[in-house]
Amino acid sequence: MRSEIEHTHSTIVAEATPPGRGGVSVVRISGPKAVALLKQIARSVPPVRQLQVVTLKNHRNESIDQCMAVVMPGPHSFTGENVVELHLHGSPIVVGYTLDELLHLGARLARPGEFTQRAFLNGRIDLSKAEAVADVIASDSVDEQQMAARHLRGELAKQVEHWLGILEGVLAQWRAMTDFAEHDLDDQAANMSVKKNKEALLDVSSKIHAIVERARVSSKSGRRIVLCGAPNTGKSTLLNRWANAMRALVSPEPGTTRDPVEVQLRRGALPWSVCDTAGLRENAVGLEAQGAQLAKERIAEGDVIVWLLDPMQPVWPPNDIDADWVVGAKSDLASENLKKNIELQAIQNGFTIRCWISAINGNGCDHLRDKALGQGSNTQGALSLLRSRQVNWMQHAKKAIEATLDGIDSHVPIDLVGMELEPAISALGQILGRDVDEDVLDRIFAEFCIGK
Amino acid sequence: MKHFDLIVIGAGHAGCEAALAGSRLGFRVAMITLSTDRIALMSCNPAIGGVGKSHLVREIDAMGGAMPKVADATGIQYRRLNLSRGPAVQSTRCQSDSKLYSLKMTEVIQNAEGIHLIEDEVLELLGESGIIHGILGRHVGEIRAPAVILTSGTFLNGMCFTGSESFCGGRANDVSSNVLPKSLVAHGVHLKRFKTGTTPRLKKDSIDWSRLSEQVGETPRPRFSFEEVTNDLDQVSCHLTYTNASTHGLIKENLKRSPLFTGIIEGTGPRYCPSIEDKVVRFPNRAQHTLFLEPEGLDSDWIYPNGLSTSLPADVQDAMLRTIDGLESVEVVQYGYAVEYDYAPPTQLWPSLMHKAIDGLFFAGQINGTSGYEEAAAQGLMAGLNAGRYIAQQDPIILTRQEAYIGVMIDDLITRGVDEPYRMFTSRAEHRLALRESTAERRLTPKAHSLGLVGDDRLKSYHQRLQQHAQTLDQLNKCLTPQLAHTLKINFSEISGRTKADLLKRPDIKLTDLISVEGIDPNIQRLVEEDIKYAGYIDREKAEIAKLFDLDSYVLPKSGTYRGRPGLSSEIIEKLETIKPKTLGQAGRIPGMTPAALALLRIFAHQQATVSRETSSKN
Repeated sequence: MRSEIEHTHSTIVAEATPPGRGGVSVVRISGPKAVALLKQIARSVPPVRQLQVVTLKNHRNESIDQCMAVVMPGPHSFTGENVVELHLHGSPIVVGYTLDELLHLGARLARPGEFTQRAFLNGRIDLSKAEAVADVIASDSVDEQQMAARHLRGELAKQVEHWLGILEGVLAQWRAMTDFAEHDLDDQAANMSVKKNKEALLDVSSKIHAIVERARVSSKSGRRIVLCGAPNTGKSTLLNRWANAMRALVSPEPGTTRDPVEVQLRRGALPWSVCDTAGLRENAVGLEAQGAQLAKERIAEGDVIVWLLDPMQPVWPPNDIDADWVVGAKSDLASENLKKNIELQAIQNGFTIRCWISAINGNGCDHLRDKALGQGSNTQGALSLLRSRQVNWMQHAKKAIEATLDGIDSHVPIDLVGMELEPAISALGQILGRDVDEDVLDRIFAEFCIGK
Repeated sequence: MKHFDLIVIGAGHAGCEAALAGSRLGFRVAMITLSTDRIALMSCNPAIGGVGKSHLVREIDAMGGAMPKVADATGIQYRRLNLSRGPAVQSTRCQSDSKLYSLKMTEVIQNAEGIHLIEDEVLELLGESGIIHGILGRHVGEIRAPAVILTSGTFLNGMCFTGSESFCGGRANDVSSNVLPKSLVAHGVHLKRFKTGTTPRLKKDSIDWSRLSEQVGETPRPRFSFEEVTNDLDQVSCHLTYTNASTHGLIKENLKRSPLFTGIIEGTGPRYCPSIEDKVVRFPNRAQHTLFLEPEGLDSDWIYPNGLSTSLPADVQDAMLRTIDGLESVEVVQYGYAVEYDYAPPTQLWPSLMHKAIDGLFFAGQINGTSGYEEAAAQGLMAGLNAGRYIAQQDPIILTRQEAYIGVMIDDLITRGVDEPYRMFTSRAEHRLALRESTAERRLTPKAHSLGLVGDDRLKSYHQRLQQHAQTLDQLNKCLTPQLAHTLKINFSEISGRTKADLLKRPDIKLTDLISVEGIDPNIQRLVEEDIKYAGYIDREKAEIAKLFDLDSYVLPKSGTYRGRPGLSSEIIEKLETIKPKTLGQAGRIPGMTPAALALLRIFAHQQATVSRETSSKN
């Protein structure tokens, strides 16, 4: 909570157009550093209020896009602050890179309704509109919360929770040492060697790194649909149908797919991908169990999780898989009566069969693709924005852990090293939407026998 | 009928600082206590300071309070804690001669101008329409004053428990106050129950000291006050011993006889100060728990076994003590007990410590759900100051979280509330580098002087220390000489042109390696050294503070009502209406507050402020 409290002096940035569509995407920057940021990313600043072509480059001097830029100095801008707008080529990839770079340079992602809020506070919106402004902020926030809950599904949330636990554990040790110095904790502290702490921190840092890298890759590839379900429900056949090619081996043998297979596709200008995973079944052992583990990891990273169900042998999604779509497969083989029966069973199990498809004859496949990809362009925008926000927090966390490790190596006193670690904990707490301040104290009391 | 400016109920650590602050501000203070020979008693352990707590004590000193100097004058063992763990957590702790402490504080109270000590029980608060007028004493009758500070500690409906035996009392050998709580409730004060406990006291001569390891104090003696205080008392040692398997076995066998486990006591106790029963139950794998045997005083026959708080029955206390090394034939002079008492949840207070529903009624100390002499004293000081300002119709003084541990504590209390007795930790302060022990005077004394809490003499002595500070810096800003490099075994060519201050940034170089510190005040040495050595961290923290300051200076309108505002959930509205935050920063610290709710709050505040500004300019 604490670090999320707004600083009015910060410079904020966000995509101002509905993402993913159209020829032009607008990225808006507002705040005292807006013009400086433009100078850094475009190497030049056009005269005020004039659209001019600039070339955007990242800090590694790689080109991002050739675009139009306009500078609107405060107080006569939309927000009342210095505002820069970048009119980019309408591609989620270009927008993603541009946002990444601006965040890297010190801008902060705007919160829901924040441009409007600034406009209001700076007198650019009539006072009588306060209620309306409040509505915008409130409803955008609700959307975002729902998105966050949806997006941060099972596996990833569990992982972040796990890292947070490790970091809090380390900090709790350090704080117990300092805050209860007179309690003679040395015997309890014997097992907390600096070496162990360092190993734990290094491990978390490298895992965060891996996730951030994967997110970077997937931001290029657009929305990702993950196919899952019991073995032999036709996941690979559906992937091949969408890919219009034999991309995954198919056979009537259950368990043909072991490694996840991913295919990059396009629908119009929009990139998307589909990932096929090993069939999941209870009590899997050996290779099959490993395949299932890989499948769960993919599911954690997916944007839309499609669970395929064989009406002849229905298997429902287990608790740890949060499926967006439960789809009846092999519709060519099922009678209308069986379908009705399955639909009823679904309701009894707490699910809804969203549609029926046949990957063999293609019935319903395009419909499923379009629905899954097109759950409203706004949804998609909010999702990718959320993702960049999460990635952003993860990067913060990683940086803080690295500073902590540096501190340990240069023998900085333990309290100061702890101060380096705090931002990592609050960053991960942000991803989970949680106030972590009290948690560390709780850990101390749970793990150490305090009390002189 | 008697008239005073200010009435202080209670003469513990909070009451004393409250009355003294009132006196320093020039008010006539009536201080009412159940027994005038038990002023500033150390009801629990005979010690002042500790991590985080000593920071409070330093701030009390910087603001002219009495606790630090009394502690300096009556300490019999001093230690500095966390010396190698960072400048922000370095702390000071002393064992006090508890009898001398009480006597010395009594003397300070008696010598203070305008304080009238009255021995009586307060039965009722007098007041109407939410404004306090005075109190009704059992014997003295009515006393009138425009402001009253309640510092009743654990005495409101206090119940002490040893085993299945219980008696009414705020502490061993003291009656509790059972009438006043009714009056408080009638005035709209909300009360809840907490519990705490204390250890048995042991007879010094019955302990076999030869078998215990000794913990000696430090020389030279560190001090709490920024000013020199004479202390010719002998310095003594504490001793360590440990519980063992037979001790734990006995405790487990008798848990059913502990009021903490039978459910007789329902109040919440502090997690950081658990009873030995709690420790044995919660940490079954620990083979032993450390006990610190602390002397109660030089002439005292009593020993305080720190770490052994308990409310087991007397016979179990005897038996378990005698399983412990060195205590085989120990005699108990006073059995340990748990005490359950009323406290007033502090979210019903303004940051000034005045009750939100009763003008002129201030609360300080354990009644606010805190624990510890230091926490109590610091609140007492602030309540005394703000009661004075209330009487004089001046705005209250609110120390911020960036300014003082006192500010952190009061903000935590009134914004977050308490769910266990609150004690200070350094980790509660998000800007603790700025709030180091060494910086308290620099942070607070000029302000305290302008408020009338410290006199010209103290300001003058502070300025002298500042001068020393400047001179020390001058010396450090000189370039290094080849001789010095030689002494420090550093290659001169590596550092030529650099100043001594540059070199001080190295972790292995100390101030005393670089300059002669003779005659320089010890705190100034520490201040300068920390300022330079940790400049990087300190600057970064300052930048953080600069970002946050904006929020804490964003004052929310007084008349603000949040009901019916679009976008705020009913849960958030409830919180805002209860806490009534004064600033946007404070609102942000209310547990469960969301960034979106804060954004909305700003919109409403802005709208309201602009509208009222326009209205007033039209009039």
